[in-house]
Amino acid sequence: MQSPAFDHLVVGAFLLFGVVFVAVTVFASNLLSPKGKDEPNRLEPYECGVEPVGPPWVQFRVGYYVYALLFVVFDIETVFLYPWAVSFNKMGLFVLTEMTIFIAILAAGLAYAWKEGALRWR
Amino acid sequence: MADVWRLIPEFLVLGGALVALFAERARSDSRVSAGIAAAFAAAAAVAAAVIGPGGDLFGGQLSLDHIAVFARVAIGALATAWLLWVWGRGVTGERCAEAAALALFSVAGGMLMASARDLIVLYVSLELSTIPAYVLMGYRRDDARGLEGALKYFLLSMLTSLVMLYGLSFVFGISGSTSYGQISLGAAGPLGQVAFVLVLVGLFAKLSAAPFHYWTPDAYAGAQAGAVAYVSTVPKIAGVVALVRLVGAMAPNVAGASGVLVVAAVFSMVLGNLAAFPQSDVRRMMAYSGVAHTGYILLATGAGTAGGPAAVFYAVAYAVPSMAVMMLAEEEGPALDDLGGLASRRPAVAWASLAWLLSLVGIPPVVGFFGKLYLFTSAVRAGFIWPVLVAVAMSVVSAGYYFRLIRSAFLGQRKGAPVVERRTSAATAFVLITVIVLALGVLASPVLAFLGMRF
Repeated sequence: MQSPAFDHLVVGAFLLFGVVFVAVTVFASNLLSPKGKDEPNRLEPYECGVEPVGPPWVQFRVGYYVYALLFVVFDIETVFLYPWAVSFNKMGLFVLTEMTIFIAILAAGLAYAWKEGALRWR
Repeated sequence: MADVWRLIPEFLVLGGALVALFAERARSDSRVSAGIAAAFAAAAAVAAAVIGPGGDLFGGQLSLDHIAVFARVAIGALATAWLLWVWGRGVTGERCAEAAALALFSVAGGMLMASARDLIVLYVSLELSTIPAYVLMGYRRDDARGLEGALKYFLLSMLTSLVMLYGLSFVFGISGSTSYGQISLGAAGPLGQVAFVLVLVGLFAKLSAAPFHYWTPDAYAGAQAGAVAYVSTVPKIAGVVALVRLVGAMAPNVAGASGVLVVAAVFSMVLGNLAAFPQSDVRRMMAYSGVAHTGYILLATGAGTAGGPAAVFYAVAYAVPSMAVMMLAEEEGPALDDLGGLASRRPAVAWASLAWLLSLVGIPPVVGFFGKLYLFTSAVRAGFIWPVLVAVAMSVVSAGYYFRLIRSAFLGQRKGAPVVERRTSAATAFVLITVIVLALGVLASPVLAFLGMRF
């Protein structure tokens, strides 16, 4: 199964599928879309084919951005903590120290955000 | 794992960054963070010098050869100078704590990059050393021009990073390994050439070599000269080391590899020097002259492994005085005429700046001359006679605009010049830089022998 010829075949199939998919969708869209200069939807902004709801210039609170950043701290921590916890018995003291340093750095980031008042909702 | 202690400089820098972030809790003045960070950077430089060369670490992912040791010490020392200066001068309009911490994060990335011998380590450390630089370039939130420059820098740098990553994926596909020992592309034919050029794109943009230099003048002229002093120097040293290593690992037997480097070198030299000539903003002038200096360095990297020591040495020889000129531009004002009357207002600084500028031109006995001498020697040995002649001619052109700075400082007049406060730590930074410029000039040949240059 893992011969080079098979690998190339997979890549070739992928390539072929990509080309065919694009061609079919563009053709289908051309076939189905309403035509004509007096078509009222002509000047609407394109939003996945459905009619747009609300104005496109929506402003998000900058507070969400801070929360997203803080989420990354915990996200990364979890991603690395789980595999480490599963194989904790196989890995020695070295990895324990490494994890402690890693968590300490992440905790420092959280502490910094806290110090700057990012945890207060304004 | 027993090798961890050899990374003490990196740990010191990282720890220093975290301490600097929280230091302002203790004192109301945030400049103290920069002072603490400077102490950590200095300790890291000393530790790197004491630890010295140590062979391969972590199964060959890092290699502490002589070039890596020199680069680590140089990066640490330059960061110390910059942080000392920030300690004295502060960052206009913003707090210092974040700037100090960001600079130290970038230093950690630069130190790792200088010793990287693995493509993944290289890429991660490259990003670690440049991402803080984006923030430093747009450090003032209320300065629209600076933010524009920083955004340009960010977008182009990210784009070229991705192109480089794409190239690295080809390298991995060709060789099946990310270790520098096994990524020679010579046998891969045209695919190897494509991969080589794609990888070079990323490094060329970081080093602002033509034709990927477009972001440099806009970004530098928009940002504060004080931030540019850091961004244009410290990451560049690490970038040159990474370039030398990568070319040495990938390029042997790749057809046209040195040709690509030499063509980029000639373009950078000519374009950088000629474009620097008419500028009246010191930051813009230094941006273009940085492009030109990168061109000189590429000339030696084109010579292959033999040119590596000279290229790394010249990267330091360029970075040290260039940082000082940028600091001076921040203190006195960014326009060329702002330096007017410097000799009568601040004679010591004016004479020190003479040493920096002569070094950038390449006049003995300061470091720039010896840097250029060995750079051109290794290029001539590799057979690049015409490119070296262009480089020499362009050095003469560069004297033209550097001497305009000197003339402005010594013969020019300026009414209503700002009174620059005396600060011991900022003065220490200038003294440190001037001592390095003079001492590396005297010690050039032993240092190059340490780096492995054959005379």
